[in-house]
Amino acid sequence: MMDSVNACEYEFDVVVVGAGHAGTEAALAAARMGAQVALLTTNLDTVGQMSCNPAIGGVAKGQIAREIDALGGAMGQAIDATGIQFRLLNCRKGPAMHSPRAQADKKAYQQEIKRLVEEQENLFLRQEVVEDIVTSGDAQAQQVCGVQARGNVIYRAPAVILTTGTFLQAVMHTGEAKSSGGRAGEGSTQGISGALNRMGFRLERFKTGTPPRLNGRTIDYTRTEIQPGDDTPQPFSFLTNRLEVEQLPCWITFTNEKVHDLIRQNLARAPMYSGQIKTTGPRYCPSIEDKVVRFSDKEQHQLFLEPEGRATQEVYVNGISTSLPRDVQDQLIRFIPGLERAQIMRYGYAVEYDFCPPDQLTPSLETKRVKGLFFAGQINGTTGYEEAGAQGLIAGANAALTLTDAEPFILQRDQAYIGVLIDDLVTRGVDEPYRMFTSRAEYRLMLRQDNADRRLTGLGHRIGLTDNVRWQHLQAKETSIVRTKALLQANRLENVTLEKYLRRPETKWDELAEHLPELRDVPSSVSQQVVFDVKYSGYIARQDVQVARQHRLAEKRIPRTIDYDRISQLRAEARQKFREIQPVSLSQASRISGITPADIALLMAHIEKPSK
Amino acid sequence: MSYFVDDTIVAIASAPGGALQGILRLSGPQVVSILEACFVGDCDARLSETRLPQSIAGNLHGVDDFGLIPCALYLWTTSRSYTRQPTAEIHTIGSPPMLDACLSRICDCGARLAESGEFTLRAFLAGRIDLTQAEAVLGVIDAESDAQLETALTQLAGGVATQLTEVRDEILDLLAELEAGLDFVEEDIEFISREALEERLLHAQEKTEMVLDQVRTRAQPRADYRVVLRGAPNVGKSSLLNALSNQNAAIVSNERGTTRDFVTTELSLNGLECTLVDTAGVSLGLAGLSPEVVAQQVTEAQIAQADLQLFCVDSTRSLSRWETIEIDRLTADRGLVVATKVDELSVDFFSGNKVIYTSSKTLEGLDTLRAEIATALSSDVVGSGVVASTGVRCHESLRVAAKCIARSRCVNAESLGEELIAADLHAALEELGKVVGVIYTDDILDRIFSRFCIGK
Repeated sequence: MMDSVNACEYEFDVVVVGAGHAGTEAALAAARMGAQVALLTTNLDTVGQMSCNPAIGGVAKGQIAREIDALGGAMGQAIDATGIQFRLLNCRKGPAMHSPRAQADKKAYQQEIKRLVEEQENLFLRQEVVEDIVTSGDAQAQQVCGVQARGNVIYRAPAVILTTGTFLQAVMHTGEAKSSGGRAGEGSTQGISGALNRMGFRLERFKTGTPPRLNGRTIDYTRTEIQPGDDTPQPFSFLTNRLEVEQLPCWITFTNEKVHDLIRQNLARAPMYSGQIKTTGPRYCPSIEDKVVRFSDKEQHQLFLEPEGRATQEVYVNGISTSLPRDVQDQLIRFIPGLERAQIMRYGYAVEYDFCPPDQLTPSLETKRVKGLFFAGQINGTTGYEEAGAQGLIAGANAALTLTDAEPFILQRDQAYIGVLIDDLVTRGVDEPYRMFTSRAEYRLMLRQDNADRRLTGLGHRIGLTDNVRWQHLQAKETSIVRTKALLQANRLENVTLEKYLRRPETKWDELAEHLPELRDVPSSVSQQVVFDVKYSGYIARQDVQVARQHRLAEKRIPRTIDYDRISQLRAEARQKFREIQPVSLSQASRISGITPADIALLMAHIEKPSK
Repeated sequence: MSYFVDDTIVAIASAPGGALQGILRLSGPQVVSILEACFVGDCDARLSETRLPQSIAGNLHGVDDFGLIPCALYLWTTSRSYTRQPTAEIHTIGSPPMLDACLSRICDCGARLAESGEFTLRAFLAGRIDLTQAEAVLGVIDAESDAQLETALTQLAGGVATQLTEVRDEILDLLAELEAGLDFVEEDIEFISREALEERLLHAQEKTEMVLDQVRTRAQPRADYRVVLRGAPNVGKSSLLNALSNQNAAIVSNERGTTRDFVTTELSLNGLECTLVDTAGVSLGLAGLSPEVVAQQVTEAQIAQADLQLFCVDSTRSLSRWETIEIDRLTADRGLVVATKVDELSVDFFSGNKVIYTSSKTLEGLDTLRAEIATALSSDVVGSGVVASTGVRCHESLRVAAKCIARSRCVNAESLGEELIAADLHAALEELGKVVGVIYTDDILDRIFSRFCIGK
């Protein structure tokens, strides 16, 4: 319960600033773990808002969404409840590559998230404009004490999580027109950047963009290609048994030379090329003007027309992110097949915003500079709802853990994409907005969307982050997997055990089930695990060796008090990198760029006590 | 790559460059099982039952090109060893190529080549040496191992490093295409077909194996020392080389290879095995540049890893400016000035520095030269022996890389999944990275984004 000290001062365990994908997961996570949480947002009507494309998941992102769910987060259940199209991408490739993606009913998704937040015990949601962060202590030992909201309202808490998204000092660009704001129609947050500067944080600027939205009534879909959802849609949440939902299709069309010519003629008016925007945008999500310039030999670019919901005609044009002036946007849309008479409902724009380079964080997402202050989401230089949600979840859990001085909750690179994400951020920093790719995960054969619960639910349950329902669900599944594997080992076909038989690439589960009728009753969620485990077993065994080594290095903790100057033989470059990054373990230290095995050996010699 | 103290490591522990006795040292939990796989004792004692430190005479078996190698095994299975891990030493004959072959054999049985300073680190962790001693060794590793790797690559001859970089580059490109196909399935880009993939994997494998072969053949008949003949064209280097070797029955080989940019002759001088390197062959083939510039360029790589330079000057001509400068740069223990064609000389043309006067025609002064070479080399403590194990390291990495690529082809043939091919290629790249430089995921992403228009 909120404790009202006086009319303008409140006390909480954890204060979360911002209620987007990071903020809501952070607040929910901390509240689930028993902390008294205040979630403050500048606008209650945009809680869990999808600022950009109306979709959850995709390759690598889908795996993260499943991990968030396996740890008890809200994203999976919200999209299951409000999805309008579900597809399993990469399903013709191996299981590690299978990636769920869903189009959301944008408004419904946001309302669903808001409902989950409102119904969460220990969680207090309120509309406030946070203008400052309150700290105590001197510059060397700062501790967060809370935040100050407009009207001189103070929220006191020993832990504060900032999830301010693209709103810090945000500037939007559409052609020559510039306006202050982090999302179309909204303002920007000015005070917090100043507070961060005052506390000594480095701030840098990134840029991202969004495409125009059209009125679907004015689109001629007969001139486009249909892209339906899967016949048997797969849910995101491990708690959702099956989805019964009427799905809406998406549509595919293409740009052409006429469009490209028009863009070339107007490049001087594009903020990215006129010099109006100087900051870096993501290479994997280029604006259409970037695509035309950098890949000038490409005659067409693919566009996806994605409905934004069941109750609206608004359509998101995926693939044509742009900050060209409005008149150019109007013209170029008309050159595209199917969009000849389309009306733009919202124009595309680019947005520049402040972020805090994430090498200023520890792996628990707490800042190194200010005790109790956590950052999650786009403020850390990432993009994507899933990446944001994942960080929120971890920051929320760790904020709650700091209240009792418990060990932080840190996932390793072989345990979760979330582990890869956070380790990359805090160990290597970012030089463009960070998005997850499966190729970033060296152990991706293990990090599958289908086994996220088996990898993480137990870990989350141990610290009270994941509820009993999910835990019991997993226990039942594990028991069934063990029983099924025993059956495969006990029965033979063509002189080998069924397990060995299943290793043959051409063998399918149904074939085994014909031979051994008991297998027919095995639920598909279980048989799938058995099949995938067996098919990948050789590769997993090889990776296990690497994983075991990394775990041993990860166990070698580097004390916070270490003085790198005392390692007299350490190279100057290594010394400087270690000081900056402050790695928590030898494993993290070994991943800092430019660090050699010999540097690690020296470090090891210093932190390990010789046996006598 | 890092110093994992639970791995079992092996290294040559004897003095480099063909000491009388060769010593291989192993340390780590798997010492006994590894030795059980490749060592047979003369008496039938089972190694695993041994608790006390002991020595066993016997043979290492299955060693490439050598078969059985007689040796003495010293074994500490308990924590009484220097590293407090099971530790063994194998004492045998001190022939560098044979020791290298033994190293490879032991690695095949499950050990890994020790990184520089790794035994020291373990000894420190075992409390056998103090931190200052450990730091002194660990602190200089990076500089030393870089120099060694560079020397090894140069010594493994011109062309190999370039080819390795090319293979690595090809695999990176291939991986970028595969990864793009995995991560960006919804993009409108054409992904690589199974046939094209096979073709390129095969090419990468063949190329890796070719480099492996070159490293193997070049690494084997290795002399202890490397002596480089330098000097302007036509001062008589080749004649001197012939004169030095013709008189001697110990010529091992004399080849002029297409991938080599120098001619070598292996000979024995007063009991010292050495490779005599003549750089003349190529320098004559490069037109348009002044002979001295060419000579300079061609020999630079060789000089960098020579144990001794013989700087030749024509005693019938006066010294050029370049020659004067070079002679000044020679240090006493790394270079000798040799005057050739002394039979045509009427008066002393040159004084000041110590000069050895020779004639390839009359053979005058050659004995003195041999003696001087031997003296200069015996004062050299490092020799090229350090490179021996670096050579094995390259060899080992290339072998594993080729194996990984071969496996990826099987996966491709059976269509088991591109993510598995990628896993094998990542493993191959990691091995190549140990020889020619490390890669990060970002390298692959950079390639993807520069090649494909990604942007849904």
